[in-house]
Order: sequence, then structure tokens, then C-alpha cells
Amino acid sequence: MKLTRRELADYAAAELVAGNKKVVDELAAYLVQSGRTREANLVVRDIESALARKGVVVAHVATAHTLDESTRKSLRQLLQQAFSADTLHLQETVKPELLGGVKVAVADKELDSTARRILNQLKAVKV
Amino acid sequence: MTTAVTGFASTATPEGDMLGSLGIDVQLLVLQTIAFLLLLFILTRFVFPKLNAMLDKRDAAIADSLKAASEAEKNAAKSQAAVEKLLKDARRDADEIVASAKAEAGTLVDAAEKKSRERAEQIVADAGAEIRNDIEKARVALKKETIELVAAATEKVVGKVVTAQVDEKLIKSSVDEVNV
Repeated sequence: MKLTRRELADYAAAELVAGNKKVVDELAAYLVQSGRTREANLVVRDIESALARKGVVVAHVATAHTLDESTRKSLRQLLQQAFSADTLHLQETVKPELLGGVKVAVADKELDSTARRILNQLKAVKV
Repeated sequence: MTTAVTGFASTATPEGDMLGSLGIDVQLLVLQTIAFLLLLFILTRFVFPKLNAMLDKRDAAIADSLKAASEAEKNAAKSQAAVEKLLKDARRDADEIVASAKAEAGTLVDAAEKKSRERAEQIVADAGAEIRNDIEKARVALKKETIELVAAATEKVVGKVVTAQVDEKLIKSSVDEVNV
């Protein structure tokens, strides 16, 4: 029987919240065995959404420079408030091409206040 | 025959001597008269009728010819009149045709002039529209290029200006804005 992505995500999220980190390996094995490796990124996003519903928020933070501690703290407070998160995991990435500002992605939501976005908007202006 | 007539004359009666004294041979006269009458009879009986008939026929032929000539002359006169009438009609038709052709040519020339004028105006209008279109395209391209240049320049400037400290302030500012 083929499990839906939602079912997989809910199961994995429940196991992760319960502290069973082996579920990630099991899930990877299942996706390979069932020939659904193309869905891996979507499954990960669904798991993050499922985790967010359970109060565990995984936020992908991209900046042009490494975050200092005070900024990281402010960001954590913001995200915990915004998503009513009991547990918050920040996955930080440094991307110099962003020039400045921050880009935060949580599940299917995104906050982009980078200089790169503004420049892209400027380039996309229809004349 | 001459011998017979002479022989017959030499047997004439003596009353003929009076005429003989006048140098007239009675026998010869009688014979000549008979010969003349015979000749006259023959001519009247056989020659004159044919001759008259031939002359009558010729006369009739001449009369017919004259009549035919007269009719021919009349016909010629009629033909001449008809020809003149035909020529006159033909001349009048030709004049009408020429006048009609001139009028038609004038109309065609006017139409061609009008069409040419309209075509020229259309070409000018199209050229104007094309020029305006090209100008608008150039203006848009220029704007787009300017924006790209501004973006590229801004990117370089921002890349140099936004240090880690400035970036921290930017991020905090963004966070504060979202919190508000």
C-alpha cells in the first residue's frame, strides 16, 4: 500500500517529537525502496509543517553575514512568537549573494527582507 | 445569166425602139426591174425581218442598258447618300466614343490620383506610426537598461557598504518591523 506524503510526514514528525531520530533513516530507506526519492524535498517540507503544528518549528535562516548572538536572539523571539513554537531549531546558512538582510523560511512560509530581493524587484519592474 | 438577159433583150418588140433611141434597153430595164423586185422581195421576206428583229433587239438592249445605267446612276446616288449617311453616323459615333473615352480616361486619372494620394498618406501615416513605435521601444529598452545598470551599480555599492555590522542593524530593523 502506498502511503501518502501527509501520512509519512505526520508519522515522521510524531516520531521525531518522541525523540526517535532513526525515523529519518527509515523514511529515507522507504523513499528509496518505493522509488519516491524525487519527493524527498516535499516530504521534508511536510514534516516541518507537521512539526510546526506540534510546536516544533524548523526555521531556515539565510543571511549575507554570520549572525551575531543578539540578532539571533531577536530572531528566535520573533519566530517563537509568530509560530507559537515550543521548540525552535534555526538552520543558518551564509549566502553572500544576498548582500544584506535576512531570509527566513518556515515550512511553506517565507520572510524575505534581503537586499537581493529588493534588487530583483527593481530588475523585474515593467517599463 | 448575163447572157440569158442579153438574149432576152435582143428579142424585144419594135415599140422599144423609142426607148432604145433614148439609150434605154427595155428588156434590160424589165429584167433589172424584175431582179430589183426579186431582190426587194427576198430582202423584205428574209433579210429585213431578221435585220429589224436584230435592230429591235439591239435597240431593246441599248434601252435596257440605258435603263440599267440610269438605275445604276440612281443607285449610285442612293449609295453615295447612304455612304455619306454612314460616314456621318460613323463620324458622330467616333466623336461620341472619343468624348466618352476622354471622360473615362479623366475619371480613371482622377481615381488613380486619389488612390495614389491616399496610398501616400497611408505610407506616411504608417511610417509615422512605425517611427513612434520604434521610439517607444527604444525608450522602454533604455529604461530597462537604465534599471539594470542602476541595479548592478546598487549591487556593487551595497556589497561594499553593507558590512557585518550594518547587516546586523538591517536584520534587527526587519525583525522589529515584523514584530510591530
